[in-house]
Amino acid sequence: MFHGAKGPLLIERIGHLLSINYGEKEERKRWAMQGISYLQEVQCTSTPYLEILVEESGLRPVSLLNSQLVGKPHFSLLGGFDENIARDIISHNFQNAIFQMESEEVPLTKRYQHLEKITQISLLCKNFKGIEEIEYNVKNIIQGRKNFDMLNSMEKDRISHEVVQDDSFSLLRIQMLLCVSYFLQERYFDCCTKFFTMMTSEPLTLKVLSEHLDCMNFISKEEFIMMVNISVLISIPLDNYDDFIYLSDLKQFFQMTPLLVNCLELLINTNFNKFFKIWHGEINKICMESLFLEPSWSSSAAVIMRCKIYFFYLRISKKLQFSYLSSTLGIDLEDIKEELTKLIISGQLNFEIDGDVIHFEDSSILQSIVNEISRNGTMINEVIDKLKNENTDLKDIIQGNPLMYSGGNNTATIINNESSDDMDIDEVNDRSDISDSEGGLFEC
Amino acid sequence: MSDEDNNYDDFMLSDDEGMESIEMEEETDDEDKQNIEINEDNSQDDQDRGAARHKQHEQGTFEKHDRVEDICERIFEQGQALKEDERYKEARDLFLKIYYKEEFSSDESIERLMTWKFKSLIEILRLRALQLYFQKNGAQDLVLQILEDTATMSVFLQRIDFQIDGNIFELLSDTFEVLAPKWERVFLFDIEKVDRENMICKIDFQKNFMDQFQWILRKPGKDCKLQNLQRIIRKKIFIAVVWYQRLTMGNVFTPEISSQIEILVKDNECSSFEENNDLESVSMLLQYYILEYMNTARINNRRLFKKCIDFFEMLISKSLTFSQESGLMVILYTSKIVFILDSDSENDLSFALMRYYDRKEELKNMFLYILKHLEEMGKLRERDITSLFHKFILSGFIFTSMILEAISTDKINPFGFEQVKIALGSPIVNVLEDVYRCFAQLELRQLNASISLIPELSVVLSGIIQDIYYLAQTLKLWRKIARLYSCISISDIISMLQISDDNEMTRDDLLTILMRSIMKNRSVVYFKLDLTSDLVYFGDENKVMLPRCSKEEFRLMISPKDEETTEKARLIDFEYVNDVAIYNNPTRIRTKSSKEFFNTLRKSRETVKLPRVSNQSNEDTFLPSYMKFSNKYLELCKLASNNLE
Repeated sequence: MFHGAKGPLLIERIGHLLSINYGEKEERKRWAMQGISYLQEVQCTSTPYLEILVEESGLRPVSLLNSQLVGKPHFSLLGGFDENIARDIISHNFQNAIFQMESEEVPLTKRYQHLEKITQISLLCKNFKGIEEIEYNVKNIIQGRKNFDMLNSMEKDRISHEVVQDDSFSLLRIQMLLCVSYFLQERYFDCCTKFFTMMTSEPLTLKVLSEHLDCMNFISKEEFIMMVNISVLISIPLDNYDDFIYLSDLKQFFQMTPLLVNCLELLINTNFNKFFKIWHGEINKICMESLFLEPSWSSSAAVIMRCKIYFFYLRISKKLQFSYLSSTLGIDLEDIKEELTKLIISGQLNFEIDGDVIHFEDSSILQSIVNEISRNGTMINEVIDKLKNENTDLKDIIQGNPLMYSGGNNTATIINNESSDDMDIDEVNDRSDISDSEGGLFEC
Repeated sequence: MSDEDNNYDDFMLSDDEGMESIEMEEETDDEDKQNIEINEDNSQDDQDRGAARHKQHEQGTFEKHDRVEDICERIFEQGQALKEDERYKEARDLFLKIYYKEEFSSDESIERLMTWKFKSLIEILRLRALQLYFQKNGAQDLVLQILEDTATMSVFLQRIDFQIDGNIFELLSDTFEVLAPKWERVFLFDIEKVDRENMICKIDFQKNFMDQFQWILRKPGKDCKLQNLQRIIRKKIFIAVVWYQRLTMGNVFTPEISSQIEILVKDNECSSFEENNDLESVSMLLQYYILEYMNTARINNRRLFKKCIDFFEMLISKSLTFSQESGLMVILYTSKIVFILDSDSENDLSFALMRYYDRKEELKNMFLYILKHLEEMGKLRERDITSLFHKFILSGFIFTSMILEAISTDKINPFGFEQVKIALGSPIVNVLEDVYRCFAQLELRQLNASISLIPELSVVLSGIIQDIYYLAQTLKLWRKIARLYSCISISDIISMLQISDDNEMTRDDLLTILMRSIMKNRSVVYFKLDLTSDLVYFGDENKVMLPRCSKEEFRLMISPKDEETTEKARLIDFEYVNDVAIYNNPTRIRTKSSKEFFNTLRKSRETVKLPRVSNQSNEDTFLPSYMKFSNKYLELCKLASNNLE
């Protein structure tokens, strides 16, 4: 369960499980007791998890206080950290811990192991900007080492082989921690891409992953592989799984993780139901139990994979039912409704939801604008109709006037009539043309 | 009566053997007398009396001591020369002279004499092997004679109890291997055309031959050479039992054999697989597995099967002689084919990582290799193929060719191959031609009817046959139905794609074909489904864009609070959009390099260009940047409406 965690990481792992309400009551009590016992041994009770530890363990605060030990804690309890730094980590005074680590004088033969520890602390406090700096530095270190190897082969002989190998292993582990950082940021494509770049450019990558990662007592090999697996499944498009699985330079990694190959095969063959049984079963269990996997898994990973499949169905469907998806995929109906509705709204997808039915609504990018313009057109047409009516009334009035003048001077009257008629006709014609033009534009 | 007859023959043979022994003894006596006379003559030729007398004394002592060994060596060499000249009878007579030499009292000379006798008997067995190899007719008599000689060897070995120096165990091992019948040109899994009577004679010989040496199996000893000899004897007896049962009862899957067959091959962690096993044992076990598959379409011990294949292939590749043996090549390729066919029903990781069509190509090539080797062996001469194995290989070749041809631009008629032409006119080939034509014309029901004419192959080739049906349905869907209909019901498509009344296509089956085709970018015509009315709409007019907003404007969160939160939300939204592939234009990435693969994906993720939609009139003019102004247009329209109101 705790993947061999020692030192401050043990508290983090226990605290994580208790915080997300994982496990049965008796299990949780046992974990809490284990955590409290550890805190007593290292004489530090200022962890943010103290309250939940006490609550779950059933211990009374008085008992806790009375059990304080005297003397220095055994170094094996500190997870490889200095005593004060270990306490800072437990207390989540991460900045102080990093400051102390960076202030230490470190022998050259231990500098990369030291940087490894700093990276671990940065991950725990989610200091992603700090990790970006570490990534930048590691790139320079690696480049420098390559230059060093080329230019100073004589001097290289003086350095012991073990130190060189230890350094290589540390640098590779740091790069793996960088992958973990991407995963924690939910940048799944960057996570797996970075790992596969490592794998193809650093021959020792899989060896370190197989044999030298667990001894870090930080993230386990199982957790790391699962991290890569999830990142692959999420970030590689459905249509490219069948290309990815045949990449020849990744074959060794595939041999290490049959689970990934199995999932890819199921997805390639559109066996979504079977895939989700694994995704929501085996994979979900491993993720929920992991301090490093659970946050991203619960936040986005689990749901993104489902949305990928939902979107695939939207892609190939004019009309489908939530209930059909639920039974076909083996996912709860209410969950599908919520997640798929959100997907459609967020992406402003061309689909309408009508009860249990989702149907494609064929509209263009400018649909919303077109709707508004159409409404405007209606209003303008109404205005034009109104003007036409007024013009008609005015015309009738003008035609009524010559009758009054016809009683007077005949010649003058005749001339006036003609003039009036001409003017009326012209005006009416002009306005009619305008009206027709406007109407045609909008009514078409 | 049969047993009584055998006993009578044995009695008669025994009498003959006795008579021959007597005759040989007489000859030996004569030979000795002649030798003595020769020596006396030599002695008389010496003229110097005094020196002659002293020299004669010394010479006599020396010659008497060396006489036996020298004589044996000379006779042995003469025998070998005669053997080289293929004058086997004279050679054997000479070797027997050595064997029947009288034994003297001196321990030292006795041991050397016994060594010569052993070597002579070995040579007799080896020349018998040569006789057997070149014997065309009347092998029965020869076999009986050989069994006399092997019995002589057995008696001799029991008498001396291996108490002589030298590589006696190795010589026996080599001799047994040389003398035992050869099986390279017959297969356990293909006995329809076998000369049964001749085979049983060979089997009887091998069993009787090895039975004479069964007593060696009870001899204790840690000498690895002795253990090797014992293993050979055990192996030979067991192989004879397997073959006998195969030819007389047909079935070798009996408790007696099944419980022991895998003992042929030693597979333990203590030492290397290569050090413990030989070609013949592995060959027999592979043939057994192939037969198992031909009968049940299953391999129970895949792990050991794979190990044997790898070992067998390694041995063959190391030896030019072996790689020229068509029989061995047939066993190797058939084993590999069987392993692949059996694995289709397993979750075998290594197969998941091989492209489907690459695997079919590999299968097709191996089927063809086997046909060629069978041709070389003269096994493809009959015009009426009755062998299930031949039908299996021929059908496998045709079927895999069909599958590969369906997706290839190269159209190579598999019936044009010489190895297939030989069998033209055979009923099986007529059926295969029908299958081929029905597949090419996508006549599904006829295809099924044709394949049903060869039910004996439906089990061993079931995986490939199912692939053919699936492929035929897929091709018919895309090449015929999809191009004719713009809208059609799922049930109508199903009825058109039905293979047979016994094998109903379900709605899910059709949906699977449709979805896999679009997933693998193999749908020739774009389509949309109405899953509430069970309709399929075919045509590129259904290729429409789903999202209304640009990739940059996609928002999962509704209310961003501050600058930093907004920026982070934007990043997460962008990742989400790319992961769900909302704006992705589906396209295959054909590469073996992961670097190239991921670079292509990264470019696709980073681009904000909208996917191409063919039915949009302003397709070429509309740019993503215009999306930025869509809100402006909307604002203008709203302003206008406000003013109008």
